[in-house]
Amino acid sequence: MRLRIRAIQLRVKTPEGMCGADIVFQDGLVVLRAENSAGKSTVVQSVIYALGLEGMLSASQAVPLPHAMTDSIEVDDKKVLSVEESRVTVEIENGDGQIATVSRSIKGVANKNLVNVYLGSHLTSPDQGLEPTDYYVIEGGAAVSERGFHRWFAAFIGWKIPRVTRMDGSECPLYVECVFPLMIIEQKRGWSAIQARMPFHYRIRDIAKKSTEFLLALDVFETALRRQRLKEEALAIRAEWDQVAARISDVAKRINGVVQNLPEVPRHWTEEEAPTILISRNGGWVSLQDAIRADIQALTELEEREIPRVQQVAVEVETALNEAESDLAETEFATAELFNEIQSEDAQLSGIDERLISLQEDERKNVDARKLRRLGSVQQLEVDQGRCPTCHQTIADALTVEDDSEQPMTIDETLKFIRSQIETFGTIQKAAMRSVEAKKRRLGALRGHANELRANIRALRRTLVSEGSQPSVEAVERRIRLTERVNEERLTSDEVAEQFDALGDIAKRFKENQDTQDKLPKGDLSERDQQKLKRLQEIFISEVSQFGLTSVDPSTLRISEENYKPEHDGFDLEFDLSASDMVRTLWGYLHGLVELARTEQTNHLGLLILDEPKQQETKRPSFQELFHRASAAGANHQQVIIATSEEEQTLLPLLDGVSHQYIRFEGRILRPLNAPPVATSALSAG
Amino acid sequence: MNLPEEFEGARFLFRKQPVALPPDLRPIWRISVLLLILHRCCRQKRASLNKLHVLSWAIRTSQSRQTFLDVFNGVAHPDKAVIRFDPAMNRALDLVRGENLVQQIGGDHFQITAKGTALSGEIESDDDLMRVEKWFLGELGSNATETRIKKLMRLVT
Repeated sequence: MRLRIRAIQLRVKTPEGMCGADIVFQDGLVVLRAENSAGKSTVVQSVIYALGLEGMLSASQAVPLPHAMTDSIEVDDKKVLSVEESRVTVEIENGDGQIATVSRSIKGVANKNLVNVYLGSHLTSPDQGLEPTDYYVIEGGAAVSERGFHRWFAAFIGWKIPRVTRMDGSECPLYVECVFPLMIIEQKRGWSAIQARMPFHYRIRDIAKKSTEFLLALDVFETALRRQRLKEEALAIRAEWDQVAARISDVAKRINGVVQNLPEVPRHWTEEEAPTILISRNGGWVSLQDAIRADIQALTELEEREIPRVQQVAVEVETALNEAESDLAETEFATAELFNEIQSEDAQLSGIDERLISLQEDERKNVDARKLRRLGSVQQLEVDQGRCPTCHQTIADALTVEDDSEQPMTIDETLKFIRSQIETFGTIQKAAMRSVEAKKRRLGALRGHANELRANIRALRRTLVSEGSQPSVEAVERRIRLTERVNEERLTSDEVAEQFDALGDIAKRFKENQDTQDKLPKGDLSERDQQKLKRLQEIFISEVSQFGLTSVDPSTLRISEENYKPEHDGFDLEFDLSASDMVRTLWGYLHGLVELARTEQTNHLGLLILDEPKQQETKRPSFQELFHRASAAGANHQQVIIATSEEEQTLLPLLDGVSHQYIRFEGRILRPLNAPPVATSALSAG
Repeated sequence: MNLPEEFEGARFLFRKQPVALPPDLRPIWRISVLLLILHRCCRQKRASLNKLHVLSWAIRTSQSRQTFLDVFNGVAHPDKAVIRFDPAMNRALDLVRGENLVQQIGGDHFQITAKGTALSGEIESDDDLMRVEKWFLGELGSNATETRIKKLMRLVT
């Protein structure tokens, strides 16, 4: 995996002719020198722009190039010309020695979101009659769609772009813009930290960590992604389970039934633990199956008897009427009682809800407090260490009035305490909800029973006043009602059985998901990953020692297994450093990745572009050591391009004995093209 | 009292357990709240003692936040206390001055220092951190001027 910049061409069309610059790059260390504000950064930004990488700088789609390429250009005689059209073209080479030339318009009629790709060296040996193919950047899908430039580009450099998770849980490709901040460091904001500028606007979760994992080609990347996917699948399966469970509960509701023993987490059940539907009958609960059996038996008994004539049953009807009326009175009373009970339980339930909400708020605050504590210790607050900032005596971790007898819990203890309460109240809430729900079903059953009784009473009355030879209205209606009930119960039972089958299917998929999750490697880093990081650590320590890091003892530095950045005593190194050592650390880390790519399989492109690497912050020998170290790039088919405005008289001695290509600009980089050559390039074998 | 048999002759030992502490009473929490208030809702990053008291009371719970926003926007809640003075706040103020995160100016005004700005910047940079508090202060924004706080205090007292 490799990318090398072979040549850059900048073209600006003005009313008075073309301006521009042509630069040819060699392998190995390339030092590009120009005065400040002469347009040195333009070269670096042009590479970013031509490769459609401006997304790594900001979310806005603004062209990341200076005035001289977009608006007006000042030529050397102080004359200002307006820019009519402009374009940047970059010739690149991949690890297989294939060459391509990419060209993108900056200003003018041509579409800025199109990149023309020539499959050959269109700059260094033009006139081959190459025809470009158009690809587009920026507009959605550049990374994935057929004509997307970054899809072509990733294939060209040999990257298999992995998928990553967004903040909202959806997936997207790890855009190439996320990885380049480890290989191209621009002057303005690239030097404040490792990965100082990351395209957070893509809303990719752990973007800095993920892109480093990809660059280092760590196995953990794949494992973590798979685990994430499985977890999301598990959530989806559980949601499906909950949906079916809710449907069963709805079906049961029709006959005032409640579902009993349905597992909350998808799983198979044995015969004994099988969930059942309970329905309220005569003040108690019976299973739906038993109720159906009883009802069918009653119906059969009714059907076996002939429907009696009124005169045959007059006395019984009278008794039945009395019984039904007193039964109705009792039922109505029970209904009212139960209704009150439900009301008061509902009130209790909302009390529990409130309690849970405030517990959850407390939990969040404690989690925040724990995080703040870390920030506080970075800021070296005394209260964070339990000391008074003024008198340095020990104080309690509380703002209550000092009272030694009351020792407050630590934040961690409090969190544990609150979480156990949340668990308890959560259980109470669930139990209360279930009980209220069942009572509501019973209320429904009671009301149904009351309605039945009223109908029955009406039928009995009509029976009493009808002619003696007529069949008993009450007996007919009872039969019809019972038939209807049996039908409804059977229908419900069938539907529930069908849904139970669906649950079995879901349980099976859930188990498969859990088994696969269990089989994933336990620790995050594979053995190969750990070795790779250890090697990076060795290289890093050797680099920063060579560059003269002094704030901390280099041998105590570690590469974190958490975020793959250098750390000291468990903290990101960046916090502990002087400005000059910060720069040395950045050099050591970024160049360390280049060196690591020589012996380990990574996705690093063997290309490092440093724009004005803050050498003023360090001592001159440090800068010299950076050149020394970087000059090994040539022998390894890598390329390290360092753009600097360091004075030539100090710069040249530093490059003494170092194999490099030196490109110097007199005055501005962009100049009229009929003028003498802009860049003089010298090769030195060191 | 009759004890169950298995406890007969047993000796009881009572050991003091640490007590649970509401997160609002953690120094680091209140310090951070103070910094956020000064950082987000105060001109020149300075505020009067009264304003700090009022806002730090208002920010405490979801109910107090809602009530305060309502009253602030002209919806009356005659039955709710909007203004309270919390002694813990005074202790927190002592601590932030001791830590040199905030300095006292002109008697009863407080202003955030460079060190305080650094810490509040860190808090601001993590979107997940103190999410609700940031939302609340964002709702108030620069509208919570000293004058309006004073007016509010006259209104409810």
